[in-house]
Formats: sequence, C-alpha cells, structure tokens
Amino acid sequence: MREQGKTVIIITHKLSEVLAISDEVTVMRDGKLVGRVQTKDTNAAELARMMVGREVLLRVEKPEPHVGDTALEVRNLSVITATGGKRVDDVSFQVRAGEIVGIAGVEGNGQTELIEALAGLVDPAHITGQILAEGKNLNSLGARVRRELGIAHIPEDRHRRGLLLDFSLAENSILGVHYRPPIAAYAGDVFLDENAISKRATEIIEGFDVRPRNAALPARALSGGNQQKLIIGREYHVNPKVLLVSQPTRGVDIGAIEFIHRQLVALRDQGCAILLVSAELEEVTSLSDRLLIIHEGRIAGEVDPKVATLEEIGLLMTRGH
Amino acid sequence: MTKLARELLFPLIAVIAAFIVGGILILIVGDNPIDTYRLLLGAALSWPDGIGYTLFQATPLIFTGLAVLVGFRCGLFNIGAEGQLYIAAFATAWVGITLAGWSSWLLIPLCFAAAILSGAFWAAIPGVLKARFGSHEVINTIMLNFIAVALVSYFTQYHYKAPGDPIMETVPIGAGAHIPRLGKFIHGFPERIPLNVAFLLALLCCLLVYLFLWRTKWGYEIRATGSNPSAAEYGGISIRKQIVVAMAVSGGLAGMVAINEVMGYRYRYYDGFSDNYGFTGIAVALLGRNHPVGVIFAALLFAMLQHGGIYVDGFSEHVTKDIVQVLQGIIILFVAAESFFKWLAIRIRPLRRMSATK
Repeated sequence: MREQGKTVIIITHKLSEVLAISDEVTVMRDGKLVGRVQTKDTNAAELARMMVGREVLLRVEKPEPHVGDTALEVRNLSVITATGGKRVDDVSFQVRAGEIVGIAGVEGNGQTELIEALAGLVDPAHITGQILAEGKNLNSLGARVRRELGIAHIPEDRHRRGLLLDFSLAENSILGVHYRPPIAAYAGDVFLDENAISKRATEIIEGFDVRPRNAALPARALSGGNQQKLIIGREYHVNPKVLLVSQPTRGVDIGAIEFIHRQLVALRDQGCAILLVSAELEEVTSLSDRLLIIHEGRIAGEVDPKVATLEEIGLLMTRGH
Repeated sequence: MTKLARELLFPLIAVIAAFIVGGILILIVGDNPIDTYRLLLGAALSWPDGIGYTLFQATPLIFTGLAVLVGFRCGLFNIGAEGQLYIAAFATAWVGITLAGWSSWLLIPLCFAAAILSGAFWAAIPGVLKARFGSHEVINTIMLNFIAVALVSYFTQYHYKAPGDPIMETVPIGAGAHIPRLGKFIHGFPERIPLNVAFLLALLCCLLVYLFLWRTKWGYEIRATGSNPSAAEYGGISIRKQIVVAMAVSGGLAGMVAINEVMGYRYRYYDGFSDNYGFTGIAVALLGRNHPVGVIFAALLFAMLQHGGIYVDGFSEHVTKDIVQVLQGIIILFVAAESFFKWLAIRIRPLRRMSATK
C-alpha cells in the first residue's frame, strides 16, 4: 500500500512488528507524546526505553534452576473431543519443583486442551491416561479440589476464563478462594468478609502494580496488561506448588512483559513447578529450563532451550519430527 | 452516589418517555392526557384505599420481581414464575385445608414452607433439566406454566371444591393458617383492605435477597456464573449446581406470592387468581435493573398503574384500563432500548467524556 502512495499508520506494542515495516515511529506513554524517531536510526532497546520510561531487559536473566521432586506428572494423557478426535494424543511428561517446562507449538495443536485438562476444566469422560500431582491421581477431581492441592492456573484467554469483567477488582481477586476462610467467614463460613476481601485485593493490586489502584473498578476498565497482572497476582497469592500458565504476555505492554517474566522466574526460584505454554517462541525459549514441542497433540520432541536453534524448534513445531 | 444516579437515570427516562408516548396515544383516542393521568395516579395515592390496594398489589410483584432477578443474576431467564406461584398457591391451600384444625404456631410456618418449597421444587425441574441435559430453561419454564395451571385446576375442580360451589375455588383453609391484615395494627386503616403482613415479608425478602446475592459465598457463585460461566468454572465453581440452586431460590420467591394470596387475602385457593404476576415480574426486574431496591420501586409503579387503571375505566370517556398495559409495554420497550440512550448520551456529551478519561 505504501508503494501505491497511501499513508499507513500502525498502532502496536510489538517491537519487532514496528521495526520491520515502519519508516518512522512515534512513541506515546500515558497519553503523552514521548518521542519521534526514524526506524532506521533506532533499535528495540531504545524504543522499549521510550515506551516504559526506563531501561528494559528484553532478555530474561535467570539463575540456574534448583530442581526438586516431581510436582506434576502426566502419563499417556489424551483429550478426546465429542466427535472422537484426539486434541491431545498420548502425552507424557513431568514438571519438577523449581523448574519451568515450556511447551512450544503452533497455536491450535492441543496446548489449550492440555492445560485445561490439567486444570480440571475438561470433563473427565473425555480424558484417558493419568494426571498425577505428588503421586495423587487428579483425573476425577474438579477444578476446586485441584486448586486446593496447590495448582494455580493463568489461563490463555483472560476475558473468557480469567476474569469476571463486570465484577470489581476486589471481587475478581477472590475468585477461586471465595468459599473458604479468610474470605468466607461467620455462620459456618457463609458470608463474605469485606475486610478480608479488601486486604487481599490491596495486596494483589499493590504487589503486582495493577493500575489504576482502585479495587472498586470493574475489571473491564483495566488495560490488558493490568488485567493480566491482576490475574497473576491472584494466582501467586495462594503460593502455588504448580503453576499452569498460558500465553502470559499476550496483548500486554512491554513494561508489563518484563515484570511478568521476572515474576515467573522468581516463583520458580521459590520452588514452584511451572508449565508454560506460549506462542511467542522467544518467550518460551528464554524462560524455560526444558522445552517440549507439541505438534498435532503429540509431543514432537524435547530440546534444551539454551542450545537449540530456532530452526530446530521451528521444524519440530511444523513437521512434528 | 454518582453510580446511584446513573443507575436511576435510565429507568427514569424509560418511565417518563412511556408517559409521554402514552399521553399522545390518549390524545389520539380523544381524551385529555392530564385528566387521565390524574385519575390513574391520583386513585393510587388516596388514603387509605388507594395506598392500601397499591401496596397490596405490589406485594406479589415484589416477590415475582425478586424471583426473576435471582434467575437473571445467574444468567437464567425464569419465565416460569407464573406456574411456580400457581403450584405454590395450591400447595399452601392444600396444607391449610388438610391441617385445618392446627394452631397458628404450627400451621403458619408449615404453610410458609409449603409455599416456598413447592415453588422451589417446580422451578428446580427446569433447573435440573438445564444442568443435566442442557435443555433451555425458557422453553421448559413456559411449558411447565401450562402444566402447572392445568394441574391445579384439575385438583380444584375434582377434589377440593366445596360441593355445589359454582366458582372454581377450593374449600377455605383453616383459621390457623390466616395471617393478619395490616388494618389490625394501623389506626384508621380498615381491615377490609387486603394488605397483609405478606407485604412486610416481601420487603424483608428484598433485604434477604440482597444479602444472599452480594454478601454470601453462594450469591457470589451465582453472580459469577451469570457474569461469565467459563470464568466461574475456572474459579472452581460448579455451574450445574448454581443453575439448580438459582432456579430453586427463584421459584421459592415466586411461591411466596401464595402467602399473600392464600393466607392473607382469599383464605382459599382461587383458580386463575394471578393477574399475570409471574410475567409482570419480568418487567419489574428489568425496570428495577435487577436490584432488590429497584424491584421495590418498579413493583410500586406497576401496582399504581394497575390499581389506577380501574378508575380510568370507570371515569374517563374513551380510554379504558388497557392504557395500563400500553404504558407497561412502552416502559419495557424503553428499558430494553437502554443501549440506544447510552449511544445518544455519548453523542450529546463528547467533550465531557473526553475530559473524564483524562
């Protein structure tokens, strides 16, 4: 279109996108113009600094993992659809305490179904194989019991799964723990304790820098990045033993991406077992300690993300071998 | 405070707009709108009859409005309040007739339980059908309305009618099942006006429904299911259970209409007693913005219109009490057109909005 003499304005927070196609870049932050540069004179780090207002680490820095016992084990897991097809096909792997296991794959290759099956959101009748946590078979247990066992879940679609958009931040901050003390109290734990709710909401909002800092706002009023920080804060608040996390930084601004990545590594270093699914190849390779590649519902291979090349991973993702 | 004002704005616009459109219609028919409205609303505000009857007629509408509200908050459309209140009225009368000799201390609680539980049971049927098989509650509640009406008519006609009585009604309930009329406690308020303690019960239910939905974990789960079932499921909430619970609570509230009708008014089951209470309840819940306080005001407005309609019929030249139906219909149309008004508001105040988002 540019060759036809048209003016094209692209609005994005994806640095690679803007660097690849634009001629000139204007950066805005908090509704104010920060700067205007020629694309050929700039680079990702400079743009990131302009967007966030400080130095941003685009690469994730993480220490060597201290790996513990197996926290989550999947044996020959298949997820069968209503029509009889297998969305997840005979998958087996383990996630140990203190490590991040990544799952890379082209979207729609069974990642969603795998995570939902592990979180207890798939009808057990559609599952074969075994899901084990600390040696306990989870297959027939619902989402609530799995949460009680210390399995937290940051879903890929925060609007559909992760948030009650019409509910306040405070009400969203108790989803999943709303039925038990300290949130539920009085008369056999029936009533919601407003003080406990606002304490929890404040801890999450301040601890994870959710803006604006107003627990009474509906979740709908937040930007994508702040919504995501709210969900992550909520799931971290229970000190999970296992964290299932899907597309943690999708549609999130670059400052929040850095924050979320650091939080994931910090949680790992506290001994949490993290299973990470991401469509961002760079994200999943830089965060993971081990990387599984999924293709058409099957594990196509496992690579060491420190040594594997993007070509190698890309071939596994697209060809399956 | 501003939130409250915003909540009040659209129902208010709807009501005023409906009165304007209704006024034009009255003009076309050939009467003076001001006179007609004076008749309509003046009748409802006279002491003691107007106010007494308006509150009496508001009572079932508060119950059914609350019933529909609880359903809505769970994402369910309970069109079956009508059937639920018929079943409940008959069940209440049945207990009152069968245990006619019992003392009030036992009989009143038993009749209350009959009203609430039978209504809850009738509503739980479509709840279970939806939770278990996914069949739509709108279809099932409508069909159960027909079944309910036919069922109670049958039992009234063939089993519980006084011999030789030409009216479709049961024999009276025992005196122990009567609840007092408010005339008994208020000086200068005659006991012939059927306003009874069920009205106070209705107000109490508004408070209880509020506490239930917004202050208990059960209410949280119901509202979460209504707001976003996928997220509720993710949060460990059983959607199927919420559907059944919400329907049962909804039906129990609809069933409480029986307390007003059977225990406080006619002291028997009277076939066809409901003036579309169940369906008007939908309008009440919508106009009341699915909030218990809103339901009180909406029920009062609809009761005023219904009561005043009788006077319009009697004293105006051309307009009949059907104007009430017309007004109610237009109010609902305007309430449903809320998004249109929102669009309009955005067009009118673009500058204020821009400064508000800073």
